[in-house]
Amino acid sequence: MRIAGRTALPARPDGGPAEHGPHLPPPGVLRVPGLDIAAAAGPKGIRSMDRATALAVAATGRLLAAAPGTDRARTAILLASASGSFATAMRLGADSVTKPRPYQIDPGAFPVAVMNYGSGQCAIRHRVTGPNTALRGGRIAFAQALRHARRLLAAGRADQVLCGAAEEATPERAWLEHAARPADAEPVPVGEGCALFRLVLDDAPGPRVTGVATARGHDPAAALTTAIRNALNESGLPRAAVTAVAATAGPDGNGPAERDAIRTALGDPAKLRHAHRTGDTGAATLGFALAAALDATAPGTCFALTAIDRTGTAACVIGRNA
Amino acid sequence: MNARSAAVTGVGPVSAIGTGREAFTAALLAGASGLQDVTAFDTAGYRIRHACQVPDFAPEDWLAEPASAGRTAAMAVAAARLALADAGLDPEALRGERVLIALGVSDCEAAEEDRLAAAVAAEGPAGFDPAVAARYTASCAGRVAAELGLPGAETVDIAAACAAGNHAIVQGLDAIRLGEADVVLCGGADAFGRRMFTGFHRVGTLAPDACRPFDADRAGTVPGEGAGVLVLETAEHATARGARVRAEIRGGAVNCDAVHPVAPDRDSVAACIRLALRDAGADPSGVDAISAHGTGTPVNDVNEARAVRAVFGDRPPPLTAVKSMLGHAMGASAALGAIAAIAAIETQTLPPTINHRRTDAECAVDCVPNTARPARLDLVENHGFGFGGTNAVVLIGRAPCA
Repeated sequence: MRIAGRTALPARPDGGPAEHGPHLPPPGVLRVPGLDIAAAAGPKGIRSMDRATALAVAATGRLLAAAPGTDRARTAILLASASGSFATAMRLGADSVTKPRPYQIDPGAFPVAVMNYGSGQCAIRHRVTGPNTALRGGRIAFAQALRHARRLLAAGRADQVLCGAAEEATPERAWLEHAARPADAEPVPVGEGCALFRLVLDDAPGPRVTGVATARGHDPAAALTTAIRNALNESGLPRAAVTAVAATAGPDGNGPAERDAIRTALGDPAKLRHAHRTGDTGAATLGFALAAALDATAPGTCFALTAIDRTGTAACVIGRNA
Repeated sequence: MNARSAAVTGVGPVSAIGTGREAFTAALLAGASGLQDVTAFDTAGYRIRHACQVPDFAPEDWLAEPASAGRTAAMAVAAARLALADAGLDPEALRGERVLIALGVSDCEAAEEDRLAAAVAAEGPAGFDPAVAARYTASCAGRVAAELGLPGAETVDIAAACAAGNHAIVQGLDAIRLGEADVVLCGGADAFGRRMFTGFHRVGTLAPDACRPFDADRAGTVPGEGAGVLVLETAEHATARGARVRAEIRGGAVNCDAVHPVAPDRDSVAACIRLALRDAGADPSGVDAISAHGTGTPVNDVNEARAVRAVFGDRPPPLTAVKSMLGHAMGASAALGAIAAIAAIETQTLPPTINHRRTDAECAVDCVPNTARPARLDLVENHGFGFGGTNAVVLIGRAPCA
């Protein structure tokens, strides 16, 4: 599967500084500075729009603008996230409990809280009428989206897939991550952004995703080892061919298991230090890792991206730069 | 069997009117209603207080680790176990096989979300319970794989609102067609929750008394919950193990209105139906009945009827709307609609649209009012449309005679 286009927002993650305060858990949040939803998504119908959706709509516009003439009825959109606009869901839920009447919630926010609001907005604002859905699956959701994309293309349901992931940095999501992370996890601020790729199935030269595999188990290192080996098999590559790796599992406390699995399955590839410069972008982490691998490796380099979901499902994406 | 078809060898419904294929089918054909008072949360202050919850669902009956799963995932596990048992498949026997588990959902775990929102209201998000946060963010398909002991299964949660179950079936069909899976567990699940109920209440799309799709006096839908899982196999795989093929997935399609976040679009729905028919190699004249999206809201039903008329002409096949019985089970609804279609094909009987008094002239469809009806059913179309303008249509055919 060829990566025919890509965009990432923020484009140049600078790593900080994170925002801290009594309303946030200790690692803080890292927001896209100066994000203007009206500029990102257009001025209309944005009163209740969440930040991740605005970023995804802007990214969709960029990718489509770079690929003029493509058939939008034959274009699919797949957008992964860990929990959609969680802050919107919390606002609606808390209002229902605290307002004088339980149904006195913001009606404009109701559709925003449904998980596929973002993928739907990308379609609506750019008239993309092909297959469209959100995917949820924590840190591995982008790998699942890549597999879904390849299947849509192979089945002839789309000529191109805009496939990516987006998250927003809100106090609610920061506290959700804080509650769900193990105590010994890396204290990474919760970040936001959208990484989006235009994927096609052809033989033209260009960077490619050559293998995607997932595996689960009680031992996350063993699960990731299996996933890496299966992704290598699918890519038709010996382990020595993979010379760079971007690891993403740290914020959920799976960093040591991830290092073990990489050593077991790949030896000692160069470590790409993209890691969480945008903060912990949840489902988008693996997408930012892919962007970083394409930015940081030489043409022809085969690279691996690894992730372990906090439920113990591991994912490996193998690609080749061009 | 056509090489582009997938054999359906098992179904697992968990619904407000019945759990398991036999109970579900009997309730469908009897025109049972799942309507009851809401018990999931305190409804004081609401004007409308009924829904279609799954009664007496006990996660510990189905899960080895019930504390790890929210209600959505627990119902999905139950549906998957039921579907595998219906197919005569032991999860143990699947360990060496290539398995895809694709489940449609509308959101994360709704009941866990209610707990998190209560914490926000009481003390702010710093009060989130770690166990609740973990269940809320855990994958539904991943939990099914864990409970079935299938560490190598490919899993995916497809969040496509009320069309999600059909999205998952289409992905399952593609995996079978492309030779990427030997066995697929596909469908959808969603638990009943306060936010969805409240949202529908706020925007005025909750039925004051009952869900009556295509009725002139329809006034809204009734939110529900449930899970539905189908077991798909290649024909060879099913034949090799001597499985009974209940029906076959002949084709399907997904598209997006790209017009409005909540209002449906007739032309896009019609386009999706045409894409699905082409995918199945079928003509409109070959469709014997439609398992309608049929939510009972004024806007949806007339839009669906017009889209059907645009494709099928002035004498469309009967549209039966099982949401009249099941309520709107969100991510599970299209999967339960598909299982209802399979039950209809197996029994050669159309389940009814209950609560029906007089058909809306603007819809002008035969919705099989109130009483099940024998019919020759070789091909049934199953509809699922959702927020975000997402549409998904699946065509389900009668199994070839053994």
